[in-house]
Amino acid sequence: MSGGLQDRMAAATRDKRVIGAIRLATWRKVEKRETALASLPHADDLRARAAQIRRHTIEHLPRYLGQFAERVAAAGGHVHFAANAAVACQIITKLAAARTLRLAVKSKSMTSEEIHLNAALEAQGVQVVETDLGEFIVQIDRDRPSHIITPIIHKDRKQVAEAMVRELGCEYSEDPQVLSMIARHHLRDIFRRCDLGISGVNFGIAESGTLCLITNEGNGRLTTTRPRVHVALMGIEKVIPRLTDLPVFLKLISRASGGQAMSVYTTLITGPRKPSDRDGPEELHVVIMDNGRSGILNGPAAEVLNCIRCGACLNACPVYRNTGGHAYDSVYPGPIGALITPLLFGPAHAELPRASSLCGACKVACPVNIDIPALLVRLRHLSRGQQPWSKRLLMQLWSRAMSSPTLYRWGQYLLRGIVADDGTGWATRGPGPLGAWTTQRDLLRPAARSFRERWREELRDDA
Amino acid sequence: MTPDPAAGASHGTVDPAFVQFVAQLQPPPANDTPLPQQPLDELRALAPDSDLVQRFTAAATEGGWQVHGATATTLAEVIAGILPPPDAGHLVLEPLSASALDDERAAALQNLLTARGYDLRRGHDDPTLFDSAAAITGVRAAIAENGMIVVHSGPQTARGMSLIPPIHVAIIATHQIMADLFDYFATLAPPLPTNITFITGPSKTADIEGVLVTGIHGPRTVHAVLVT
Repeated sequence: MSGGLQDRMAAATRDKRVIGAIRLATWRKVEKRETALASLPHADDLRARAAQIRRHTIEHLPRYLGQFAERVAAAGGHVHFAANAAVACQIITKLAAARTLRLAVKSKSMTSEEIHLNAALEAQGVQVVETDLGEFIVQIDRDRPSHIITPIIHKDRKQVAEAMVRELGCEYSEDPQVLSMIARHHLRDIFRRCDLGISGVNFGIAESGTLCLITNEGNGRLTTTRPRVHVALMGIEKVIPRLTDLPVFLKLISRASGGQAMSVYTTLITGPRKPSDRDGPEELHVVIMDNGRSGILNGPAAEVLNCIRCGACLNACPVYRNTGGHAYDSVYPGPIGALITPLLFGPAHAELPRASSLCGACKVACPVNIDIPALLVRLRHLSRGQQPWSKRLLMQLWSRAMSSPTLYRWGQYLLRGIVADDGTGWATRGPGPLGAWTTQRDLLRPAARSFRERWREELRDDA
Repeated sequence: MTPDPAAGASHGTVDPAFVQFVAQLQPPPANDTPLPQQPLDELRALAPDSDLVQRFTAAATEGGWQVHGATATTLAEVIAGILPPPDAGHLVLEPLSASALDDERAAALQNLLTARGYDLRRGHDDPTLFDSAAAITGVRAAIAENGMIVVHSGPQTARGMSLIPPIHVAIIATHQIMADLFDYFATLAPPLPTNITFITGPSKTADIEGVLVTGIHGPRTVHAVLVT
C-alpha cells in the first residue's frame, strides 16, 4: 500500500471527535435499517427481485437507454449526451448562457459532485446555491461531503453554527431546529428568485421517460418546480425498464438508507410543464453522462453498476466508521466508493479496494445484493502489480505457507517466536516487515498451542 | 406503455451523439431473455382486504401526519378546527373533481371559513403560495402500507400547493385508500401527469448531528382528514 491512502486513513482515525460522531451516526442508521427491513414482509424476496431487475437492465443497457431517451423526448424533454465530466459541464453552462440564466438552485446530486459542476457554472457567472441542508452547509463552509446521503456526518452543530454566523450574518445558536429554520428562511428567498434548477436522478424509467427523485426535505421538489428550466443529470446506469419495477426499489431504498419506510417525498417527473399545468418548469433537459461507466460495463466488475446509491454499505463498513469519508479522497467513499472510484477515475485510486477488512457487512447491507467483498478482491487482484515489492513478497510467502501443511506448521512456530504478546492477546507492533502492516491493524497473537497440536494430544489421550 | 400524442406537450429532442453512443455499446448477450415477470402479489406488504383505514392511520401517524376523521357533514367543522387563527394569514384552497374535496364541498368549506373571518383564495399564483398560512387540497390516492398520499399535477392542482405553504391539509376519502404501493402503480396509465408526488409526512431533515427537524423546506405541519 503506498503512502497516500495509508497516511490519509491513519490520520483520519486519530481525529477522535469526528470519528466518535461518525460511529454514533452510522451505528444508529445500521440499527434503523435492520429494524425497518425486519418489519417489511418478503424483504429478502424484494431484494432478490431488485437485484434481478438491476442485473437485467445493465445486461440490456443499450435497449433501455435508447427507449428512455425516446420517451423523454416524446414527453417534451430534451436528451443530451455527455461522454465525460468536461462535456457535461459544457452542456449545462451553455444551456444557462443561451437562456441568460443567472441563479441556479441545486438538489443534492453526487453525479454533479463527480463533475465539479458548481465551479464550472460559477466560472461562467452563474450563481449556484445548494439547497439540501447538508450540502448547503458544505457549500458555505467550503467543505466536501463525506457521505453520499448524509453530507455533513463529519460536522458537529458548533461547526455548522460557526459557518452560518460567518456566511449568513445570523445570530449564534447551536440548536439544530433554529439553525435549520435560518437556512429555510435564507433558501426560501433564493427559491423565489431562481431561474435554473439542477437535480440528479434516482431512477429513470425507460418505458415512460419518467425521472424519479427521492428527497426528505422538499428542496428537490422546489428545485424542479420553481425555476423555468430544469436540468437533470444522470449516469447511464440509472435506468430501470418499467414503472411497475419502481415500487420494488421504493420499498427498499429508504429503508436501506436510514430506516424510513419511504422518504418524505418521492417525485415522478414526466416531461416539462404542459400548457394546462399550473406551475413547473417550461423546459426539461436530461443530461445522460457516461464518464467512465461504459468502460465498466463489459469488465470484471460490471455488477457495481447495479448500485442504487442508498449509502447502506458506508454505514455498515467498519473501515468507513473509523476513518470517515474524506480519507477515501473520492466523492464516493465507503465500500461502494472503494469499487467505483478506481473504475471511474483510474489507476491513481487503484489502492482503494484495499481499504476494506472484507468482513462482508456491506454485502449484508446492500438492498440489491451486490457482492461487494468479491468485487473488492477481484480489483485487488487486478492491481496487485502496483503493490510494493515487500508486500508482494510477503503475500507470496503467505500464499505458499497457507497451501503447504509443512510450511504452515513451521510458519506457526516462527510467528509464535517473533510476535510479542503485550498481555492482551493482540500484537500492536509486528516484527520486521510486519511492522508496516500493524500501523493500522492489530495482529492476533498465535495461540500458545495450535489446534493441530491440541488435536494430536486429544487423540493421544483418548487412545 | 407508449407515449400518448394527445398529451399536449410538444416533442423534445435526442442528441444524435447519444444515439451514436448507444449504438456502439455492446449488444445484449445472444441468449437474450426478457425480464422474468414476478407476480407482485408475492411481494405485497399488505393484503388488499386488510383494514385499510386502521393501517393508514397507524402508518401516517408514525410518519408525522396528524390524522383526523370526518363525515361529509362534519368536514368543514373539522377543518376549521385544525386551521391556525384567521390573522395567521390567507388560506389557499384547491378543489379536485372526483376527490374528497370536490367543488361542492369546497364551496361549503369556503362559506364556513369566510364566515369565520378567513381570507380564502381559490386559484393562486406563486407569491400567493409563498405568503399563505395553509393550503387545503384533495388527493389522487392514499397508500395504507406507508401512510402516504399521492398528488398529481394538472389543471386543478399546482405542485406548489402541497409544498410551499407551512401547513398542508389533505382531504382523503376512505375509498381512495389503497393497500399497497404496488396497487397504485398498477393503476398508472398514459398519459402520465407531469408530476406525481408521494408524501409520507412533514418535510424532514436530520443533517445536523442526526437531530430530526421538521419543516426544513416543505410544510412543517401536515393534516390528513379522512372522510367516510
